[in-house]
Amino acid sequence: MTEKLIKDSDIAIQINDLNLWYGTTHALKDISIDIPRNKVTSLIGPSGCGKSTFIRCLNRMNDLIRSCRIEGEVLVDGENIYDDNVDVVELRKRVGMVFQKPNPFPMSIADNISYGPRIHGEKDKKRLESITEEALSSAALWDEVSDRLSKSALDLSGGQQQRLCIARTLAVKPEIILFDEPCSALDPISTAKIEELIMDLKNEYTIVIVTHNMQQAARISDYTAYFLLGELIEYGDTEQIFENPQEKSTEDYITGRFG
Amino acid sequence: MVRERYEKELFYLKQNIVDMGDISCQIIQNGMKAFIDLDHELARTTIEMDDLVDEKEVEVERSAFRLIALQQPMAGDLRFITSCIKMSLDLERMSDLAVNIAQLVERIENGHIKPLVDTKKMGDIAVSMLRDSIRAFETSDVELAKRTAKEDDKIDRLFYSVWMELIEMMAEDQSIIINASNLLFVIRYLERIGDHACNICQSVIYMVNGERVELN
Repeated sequence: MTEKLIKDSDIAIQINDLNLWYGTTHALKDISIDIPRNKVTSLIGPSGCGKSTFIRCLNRMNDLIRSCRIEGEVLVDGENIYDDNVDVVELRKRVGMVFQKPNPFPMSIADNISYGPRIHGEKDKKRLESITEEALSSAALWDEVSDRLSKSALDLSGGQQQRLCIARTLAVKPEIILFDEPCSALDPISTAKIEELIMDLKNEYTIVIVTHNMQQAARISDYTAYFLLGELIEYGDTEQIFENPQEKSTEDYITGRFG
Repeated sequence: MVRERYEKELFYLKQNIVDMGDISCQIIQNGMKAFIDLDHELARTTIEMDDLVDEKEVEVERSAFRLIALQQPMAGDLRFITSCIKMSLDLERMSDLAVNIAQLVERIENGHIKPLVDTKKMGDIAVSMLRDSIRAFETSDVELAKRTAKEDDKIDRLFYSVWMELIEMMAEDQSIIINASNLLFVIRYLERIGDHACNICQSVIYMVNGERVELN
């Protein structure tokens, strides 16, 4: 199914036979899926279906969980990110992540953005300033904060903090951005701004998003994957998934008959 | 059941379409009988019945829009709701056409110009197409929808044969032109009713399996 959906030349991330266990719990079962470049791919499914576990596999966030065991391949530009010689810090620079709750560092707005480039070796003040402006502009936040860059990031509203976190991710020039329910703590206006931003960002980045909000998945994504009990049940063009899903279980979930 | 109220609303919408189909069937049957028998009283009651269809159409639209606005339906539910909206438009048009037939009763002068055998046959097929298309909708029966749409060929053949016959009759005898041209309207309306029944069959197929087909 997935092989035909995305042309080989368009694949940004190729996942082959991915299995994941938390202790004895088999949380992801034989997941094979191709994530297309410069598109938005949504992961949907009821709580506990494995979608967040799956997205965390894409930049090895599950490495931090001691009981977690992973088998299979996650190829980013053809390279298996689980190979022994992979530098995880470098990987997370290439595959950035934005979380459910905005988590700005307790420092100024400008320092939040320049923190990443600085730890990756950028020392030039002028360069750091231009990276900061560029990242904040790309995250549609520059106009709102340009006159108070030295103020604490914690004074921003929830929606602004989340866009700051997106800007922080952009500052290290990733190829792929993972969003784990980025709008679940935001009001509708802030949500709309993030959604618009995600749709703009796909021109330059590959986006994968976990969302509980099916209307959001329908609005912003090009492709949608439906997970249930650790299995990938259906993956397809978003329009097809929401207009005419092929699996009854997908239909039951997206029409609200369970989950 | 997780969304009990939602399920009830969907069922209510479905029932309204079925009711609308029943009333439209009755209007077409009565309209045809009134025209064939030149029954002015039946023509009057048939015309009045159209209000019921109009009311149902408004109710279908209201409940479909309410579902879309408040429940964010997806997938099969969304196809069902959009199909109901389209079907209600077809049913409303079919009833209007049957009313147009009933309205012609008073225009016929001194009885019909010929026995209305084929015209009656067209009416019977149209009614049975409508009845079967609504049954296909009720039971989500794609095969029945496809079979029903094929019946439209019979109506089209009858339409052309009656049309040719009337042209020839008018060429021979100009005194029948008024009655014959009114009869031409009737067969044209019946032919259109058949097309609308086909549209309903198309909606049923899209509703069931998401396939967009052209059956007309």
